[in-house]
Amino acid sequence: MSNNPFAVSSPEMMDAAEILRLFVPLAESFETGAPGHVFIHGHRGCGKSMMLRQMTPDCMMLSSGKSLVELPYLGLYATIKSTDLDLSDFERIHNQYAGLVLAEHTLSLFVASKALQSLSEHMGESLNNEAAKQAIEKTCSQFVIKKLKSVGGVFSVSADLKSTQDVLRQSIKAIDEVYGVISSYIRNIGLTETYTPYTGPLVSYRDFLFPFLCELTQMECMPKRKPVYLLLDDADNLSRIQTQVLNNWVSFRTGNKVSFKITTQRGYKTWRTTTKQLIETPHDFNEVDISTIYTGKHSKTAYPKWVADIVNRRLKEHGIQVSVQEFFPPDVEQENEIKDMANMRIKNWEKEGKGYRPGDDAYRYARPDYIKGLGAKQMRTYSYAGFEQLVHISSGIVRYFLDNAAAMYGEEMKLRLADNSKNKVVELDHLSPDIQDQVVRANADKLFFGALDKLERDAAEDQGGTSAQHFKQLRNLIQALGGMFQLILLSERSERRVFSIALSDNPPEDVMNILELGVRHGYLYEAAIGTKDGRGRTRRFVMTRRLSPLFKLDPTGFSGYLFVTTQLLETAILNPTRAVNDFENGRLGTVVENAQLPLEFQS
Amino acid sequence: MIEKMPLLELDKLFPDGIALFIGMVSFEDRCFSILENLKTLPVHCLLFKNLASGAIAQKNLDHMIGLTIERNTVVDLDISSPITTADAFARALASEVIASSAGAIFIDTTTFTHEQLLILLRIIELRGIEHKIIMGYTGAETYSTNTDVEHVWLSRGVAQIRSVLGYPGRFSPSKRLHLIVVVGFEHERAAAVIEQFEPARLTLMCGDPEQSVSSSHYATNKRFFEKLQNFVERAKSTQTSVETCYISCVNPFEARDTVLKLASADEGYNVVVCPMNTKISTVGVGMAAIQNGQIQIAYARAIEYNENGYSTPSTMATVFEYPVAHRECINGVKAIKQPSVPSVEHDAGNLPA
Repeated sequence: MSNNPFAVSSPEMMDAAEILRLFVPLAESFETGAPGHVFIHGHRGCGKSMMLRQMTPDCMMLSSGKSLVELPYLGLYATIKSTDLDLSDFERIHNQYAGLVLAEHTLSLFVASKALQSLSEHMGESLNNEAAKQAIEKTCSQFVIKKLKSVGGVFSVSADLKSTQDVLRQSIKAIDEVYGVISSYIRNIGLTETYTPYTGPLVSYRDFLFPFLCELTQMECMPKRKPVYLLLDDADNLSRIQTQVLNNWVSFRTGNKVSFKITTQRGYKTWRTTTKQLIETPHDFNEVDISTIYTGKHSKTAYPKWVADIVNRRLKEHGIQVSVQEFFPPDVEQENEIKDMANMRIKNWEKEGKGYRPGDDAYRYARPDYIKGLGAKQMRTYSYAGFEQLVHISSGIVRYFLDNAAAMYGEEMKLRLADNSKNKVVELDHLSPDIQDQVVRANADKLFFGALDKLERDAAEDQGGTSAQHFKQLRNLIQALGGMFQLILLSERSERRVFSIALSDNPPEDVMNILELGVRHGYLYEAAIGTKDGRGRTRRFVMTRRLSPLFKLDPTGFSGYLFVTTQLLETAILNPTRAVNDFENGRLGTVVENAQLPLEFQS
Repeated sequence: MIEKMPLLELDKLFPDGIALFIGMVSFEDRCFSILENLKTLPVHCLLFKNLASGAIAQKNLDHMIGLTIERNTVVDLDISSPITTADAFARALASEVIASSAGAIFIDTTTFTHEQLLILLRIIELRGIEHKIIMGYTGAETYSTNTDVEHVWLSRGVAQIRSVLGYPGRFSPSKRLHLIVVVGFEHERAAAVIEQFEPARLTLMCGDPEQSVSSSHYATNKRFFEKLQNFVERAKSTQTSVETCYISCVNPFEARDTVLKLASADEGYNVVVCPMNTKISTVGVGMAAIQNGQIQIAYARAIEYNENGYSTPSTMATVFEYPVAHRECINGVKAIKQPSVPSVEHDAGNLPA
């Protein structure tokens, strides 16, 4: 186990007890537990893999106290790594029929092997008995060993298998051997223009994987006649043609027997099948986006509580017996001054108050007043330390909080060890506000300058000038939005804590493409709100709070929207300075306070 | 045979002349260091050039063409397409090697990308070339010449991480991933590879301080490695074991044997190696993966290189005979050394103190 309590673990490597100790369920229960295919989208680090992993039997048995046979489904976990299946060598045949057949073959074998591996690792002790061994041996013999032999697979088989694990290992080995044939084949095809036909064994979903999976829940030792859920993690790592094959499988609508629960990092390559048919929701599958759940109705209290639960569990796991607020203390001097300002607002509410209650004004204006009071030169001294601010800055993605916390912990430990002349064991019970502040500031700079530069150059090289131009425009848009939000914060407006824009008309496709690019790369989050006239709904885009330090914004607040026109957006993506100036001069954009709508991250 | 020698003395290795010289045009002056110092002109020169290369590379190509008089063939490579790269290599070697007279083939590995060099090795293997092949590598005297130590950079961004064509490995789907990164100066690319793969086991191979190419960039190297270590500290999971060991950056055979030993001791994992140090160590990794087909090689393509100050060439080259048949056994493999306190001597990616 790492010494850093905030180090991020891959759920693949964690046992059920650890998952249970560290996993805090999401605030919203999606339909992932119900039969049917589901795509779960989300940025890296928002909890997708943990969500899938805790659907495997060992975790479910431990959390529910039920036995394997009582579970509502059999969850089999399979993670897909970057170059597991998406190999450069396949490019040689990707346009040929052989490419399609081999994609089906490799994906079927890959998933079957992973499913058996999951049976071996994620069932606890449930299958370690003679009855289970015999049942599984029979199923594996018929649906794996005999099937693979019948298509020409060459592998050795032992008649003397002593345990369920032996049985599973033998089938895994058989699949891996057959998979090895295709591996050997592709080793040379990429290097020669001369087509070499594949002459090895071939299997497919319908004749091999699906019958095998269906048979699993026909056994007495399994959740009988319940569906099998294939929990496919990181399907973005499939090649285009493999993705099309997976879409074929989804299109079969076998959800009552075999359901796919597939996670993506928003980079799923296509929604078309190999016959170019589109798979669609809700016809073929449901989809959820878990990166945005905490920017909506759960943002107010559920997300901070979720993060606090996760952090608490990690602190306890490492023997640190302090509260999250104590571990991530704010800059006390700054917070005291803000409190004084809040008290002043409460005191003067009857004479000068703008809100319905004294507390409204205190909450809404004290922090912006403090930031404003620092003046342009001192604004950089505003501290972003403190658990509450850090939660807001993580923008609904827990990995962002943990990554920042891990970096802070590392820095703090380094400092303490350097000062530790007596070589005592260093135990941290808090992270200094200065280090917290430095880390989030550095990451904001990196996000805006480093990551966007990278994306822009990447696009320039890979996709031609048009796409690179899109990233430039996205950078302009973010810069303009940050600038406008800062102006609002420093203004005398009644609502100063604005982090999102709502569309007051229908922008053309090129503008929408830039907004969607921002969503895809985590700079913006998308939601919907009521229109100004209350007659319908419109799209709302929230800027990530990870950029708060860059634009000197108050990350804790949100209680208004900037209603923007296409004209403002078009100006912003071409000339951010002009957009900010025009906004400052009252020519573009309207700030709207809408108390009926959920207030993001308001505590 | 492996030797480090002054560029000016390279001719000594070719008493019967050079039948075919193969080189890669680049924005680095290092791309013509070897060719420029050969006193006897090769019978023919096969010069590869990236299609999308810029003005500096074009200037260097003109210089190299001038050096070879008319004894050259220039072949364009598409850096974004490994398949077309392999085809270009195969066609060029088919025509030029067959046409070449008896004698040695001299491949200047210095400025090929790691991926191109590895594909070239596989094409050589498949073609069954019978000529004696000598490979050369010119080290860098200095890196990132246009920055101070704090702002050192060689490349930025990662356009794509992909398996290297011809080295898909022979994976077992049931096994977990062991990622071996042969780290060099390019911290961002190494970090991106680790993040992308999320390996169950990670080994960082660092240059052996006892086998350095140059001792002149210690501060730069130390700075780089600190950055990488910081990243690893942050990224490693509670279950991921991160190990470090040395690999030779100056001897491809030792590099090969180190990788082979590590991979063979690791049958419970699928092994992916990502070579990011010297081209010599990359040749070693390539030989290991040719010998052991279980090993996959991955490549992280950079978005941008520090074209104006990547490096300045050394006056020395490392040369070795490339064993086409890969029949060399790995007898006498040295125990893998664990990093301790290294000497000042080091090269790209060597673990600093």
